[in-house]
Amino acid sequence: MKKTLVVLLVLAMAFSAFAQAQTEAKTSDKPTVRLLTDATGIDDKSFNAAAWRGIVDFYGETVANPASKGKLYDVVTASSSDMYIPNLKNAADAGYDLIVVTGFTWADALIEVAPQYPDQKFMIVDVNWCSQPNVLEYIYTEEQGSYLVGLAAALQAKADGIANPKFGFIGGVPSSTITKFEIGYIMGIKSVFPNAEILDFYANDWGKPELAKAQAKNWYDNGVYCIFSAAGGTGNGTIAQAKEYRMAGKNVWAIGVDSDQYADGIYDGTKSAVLTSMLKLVENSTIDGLSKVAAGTFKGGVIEMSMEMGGVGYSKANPELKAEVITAVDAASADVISGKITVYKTYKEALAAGAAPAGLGALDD
Amino acid sequence: MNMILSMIPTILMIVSPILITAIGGMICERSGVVNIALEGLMAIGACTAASCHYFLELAGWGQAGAWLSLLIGAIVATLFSTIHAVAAIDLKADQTISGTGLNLLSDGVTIFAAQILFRADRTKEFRVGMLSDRIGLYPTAYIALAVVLVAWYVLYKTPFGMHLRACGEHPAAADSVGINVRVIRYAGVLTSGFLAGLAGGCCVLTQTIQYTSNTINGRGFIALAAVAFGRWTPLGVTGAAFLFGAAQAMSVIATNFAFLKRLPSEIFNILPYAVTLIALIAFSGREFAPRSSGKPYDKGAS
Repeated sequence: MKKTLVVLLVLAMAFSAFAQAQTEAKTSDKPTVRLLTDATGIDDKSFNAAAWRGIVDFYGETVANPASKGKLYDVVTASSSDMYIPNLKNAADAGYDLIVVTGFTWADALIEVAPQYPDQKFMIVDVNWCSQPNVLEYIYTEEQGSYLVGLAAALQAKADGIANPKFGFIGGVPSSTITKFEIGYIMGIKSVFPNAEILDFYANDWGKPELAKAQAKNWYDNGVYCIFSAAGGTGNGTIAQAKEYRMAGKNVWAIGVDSDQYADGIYDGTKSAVLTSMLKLVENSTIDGLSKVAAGTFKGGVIEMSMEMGGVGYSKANPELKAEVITAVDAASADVISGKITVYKTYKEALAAGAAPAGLGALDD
Repeated sequence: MNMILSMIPTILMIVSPILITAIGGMICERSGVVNIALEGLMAIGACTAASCHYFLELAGWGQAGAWLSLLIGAIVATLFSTIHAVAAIDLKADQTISGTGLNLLSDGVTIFAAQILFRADRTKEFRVGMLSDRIGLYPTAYIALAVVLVAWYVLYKTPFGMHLRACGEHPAAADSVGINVRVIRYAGVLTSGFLAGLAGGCCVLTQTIQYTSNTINGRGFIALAAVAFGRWTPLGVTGAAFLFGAAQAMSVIATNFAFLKRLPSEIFNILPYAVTLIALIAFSGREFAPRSSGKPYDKGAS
């Protein structure tokens, strides 16, 4: 019995050892950087993957062949959240020029560690409340990108000749960030169909695709044309259901989030159930942060990655997204950048302006 | 009414994997071994099925590939469950610990396998999972039905089923009349491994587009609760699995009704668990568990 346990433990340890990639930083004229990730690692197809892509891009290399990995840049995955502080301290002790973390789950650890290393430069994505002189914080204007995908969905419905289309939004856990997605999406739709019926649903979980799938089926059956999911892994359920219905000949769509999910929605050849995706280009933050370190202009504070700065956008990958829709959405994108179109960030503002219907599940902090 | 009817396939989609796993867990416990590794075995089955289906789809197998993937997932999970069987039956280890070990191990193994196969922490998304039939039901619903019927028949209508139940109640007595407790218990554990693996495949092929570390997301533990709540009988377990599944689907069904939609959505998230607690309190008072479940059988000691 004890032997079995020992074998199990050894195996478990061996696996966690594989997950750790420890390399020492070396001196060079280029800045050195370490990316610290949560347990999902750099293959999460989301923040971590994007942050890593940005780092590799900065050094002119590719993710498939990161030649300077271990010399100029590397990545350490924290197997659990109690490793956040030790990993931050290890990286700071190793003397990297910049330490990058992504996501609000790192905020508390960073707030604790950053003051202990006043000369160490840190950057964090998706957080704006660290307020440390040595921490550069990047946030995104998700509402602007979401406006574009809402607009694209509505225009596509119009081009398809659907008289009174309904639209759905599926969120993960309600928060002020997800509210930005929802409000932007709604405003995009309403700019085309001012009286469109918009339904929303929060799964209260980032990993329950079965709920999104159930809701997507329920809504598609009741005449919903397109569903935007800002719900992490839960959103996979929406895509799965949209695929099934498109294969059965129904004209329904899903919209991807964060990265381009066109490929996730492919069911036949180039046909994808993902009409477009709201892109959040986290790679541009790491590139920006590294450029600032290299140029010696690094300064703590909050930078808002707006559409103008290439922070957010939408995907044109699906060939079924009509050309006239793309033209119109690109025009709207220019208007958002020029300030002609203002997209609200909070449900409160949107309600006050009459831009969103009452009774949604969206929450402002 | 129409809307409720249209929700039935959805409820069945959510219930089927839980039910199949729970039936496996029930058989295992009826043979005298507690298997809390159901969660991990489901993950193994789901990861295997998702990977196989991806490759078979590339090879042009289509829907037939989904069925083959289900089978392969179930077989791999069966092999994996032998670890628990050896630990619990031959080594007489603490079954809770070896089950927990298996759950932890499967977490690592599935991600590690995905790293090797796809160079990512998840399997590559397959294109088309299992498709529903004309009335909207997925094949998994029929699989679940078949599993329940076969389990009921084998447990109550065959000599083997009686032997299995005897091993869970009083292994020494079973041994004294010439029943091989070790073989029977192996059969129990491996069956639960097979069914949990099958259910994992059902889960990933009908509910999502790829395997990730939270695809199973506690379903194995819900199945474990369904076993106890269903009082270790096929009918009871079926009822319990339906109750849990329906309670989960409630959060979606509720959005169709204005008066329910006004309630905070968290209410529907705690519903399955609240229902369990209330039911356990309401029905407690008698001991329904197989008497020797969880106790290693030591031939020499009795």
